[in-house]
Amino acid sequence: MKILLTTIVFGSVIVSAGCSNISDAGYYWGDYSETYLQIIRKPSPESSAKHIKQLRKILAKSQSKNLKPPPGINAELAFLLSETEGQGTPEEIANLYSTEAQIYPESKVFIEKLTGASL
Amino acid sequence: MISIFRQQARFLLGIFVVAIFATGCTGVQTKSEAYPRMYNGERPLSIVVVPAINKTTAADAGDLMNVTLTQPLADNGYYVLPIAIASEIFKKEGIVAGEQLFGVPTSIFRNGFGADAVLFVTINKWEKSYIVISGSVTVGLSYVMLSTDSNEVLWSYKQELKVDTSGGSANPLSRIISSAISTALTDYLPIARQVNALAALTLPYGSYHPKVGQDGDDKVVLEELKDEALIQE
Repeated sequence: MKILLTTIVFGSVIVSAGCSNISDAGYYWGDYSETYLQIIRKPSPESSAKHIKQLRKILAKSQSKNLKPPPGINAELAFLLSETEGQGTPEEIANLYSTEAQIYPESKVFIEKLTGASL
Repeated sequence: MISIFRQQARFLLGIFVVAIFATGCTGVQTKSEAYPRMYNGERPLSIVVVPAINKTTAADAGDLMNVTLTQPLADNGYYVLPIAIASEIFKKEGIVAGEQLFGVPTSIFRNGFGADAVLFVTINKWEKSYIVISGSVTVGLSYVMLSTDSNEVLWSYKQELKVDTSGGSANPLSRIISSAISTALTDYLPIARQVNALAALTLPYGSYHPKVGQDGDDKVVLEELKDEALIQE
């Protein structure tokens, strides 16, 4: 029964990312969608902390695997830290935003408008 | 009235498709035939995703779009402005549904977000059905990407997917129970992911993809679905 169910689930996955956790464009995403969805469905300090932890994990894994961090992750972490009480220092937040703009220069306009800082 | 027209249009389209088949063409286009602007110097790099246009009764379907759209777009070589931040900005501006932005000049997304393109996603279908011993989930989405420079359509596609959620067992009672349970347990998250991934197969690669510019001859775009995505019902 369990095997059959698994077969059905797997069979329905027409487009599968394969065995590797790294996408074609060379990104590691971890469980990004899962922890982000938890924040939306059950907003709480716990769900925010969990997503923050996931975003940190994505950045750390990307670094250890010598990959570019996925688009938006540095900025999203900075934003979430700034919105969550007791998380992150102003320096860390500013650093994350400027890292995003450095790695992805096309984000500069957005981040400058968001933070009011010029990068 | 519109639906009658559409039915007629569909019927005519059906005849057309048969005619095209008869002449040897299948109504399948290459990416560069379907989306020429993406290959003629208007390829966007940064995309802002606006809140979904939800035509279904599934109130939280838009949330699932928010959490699943970044990956397929980024994995196709684009920079996606962080949806978690953008959606908060839209909310503060009182925009919770994409249709509130209809008719707004796309240049506001260039000026406000620095985005080369804006993506509208419409949720057409979000249905769960139980048929005594089996269950299924059908999700239908339309994607329209507009240039913030020219206001023109860069990419459009309509994608639908039906996923069987019934469990398998010889015992009828256990089958009924497992159907109910597995439909409940089958979160929409993986289904939303699959629909996005299928649609993204037609999206020309962006500048961060290793094969950018090399996919123009990929014959993967069903012309009918490309055009249907542009019809707001």
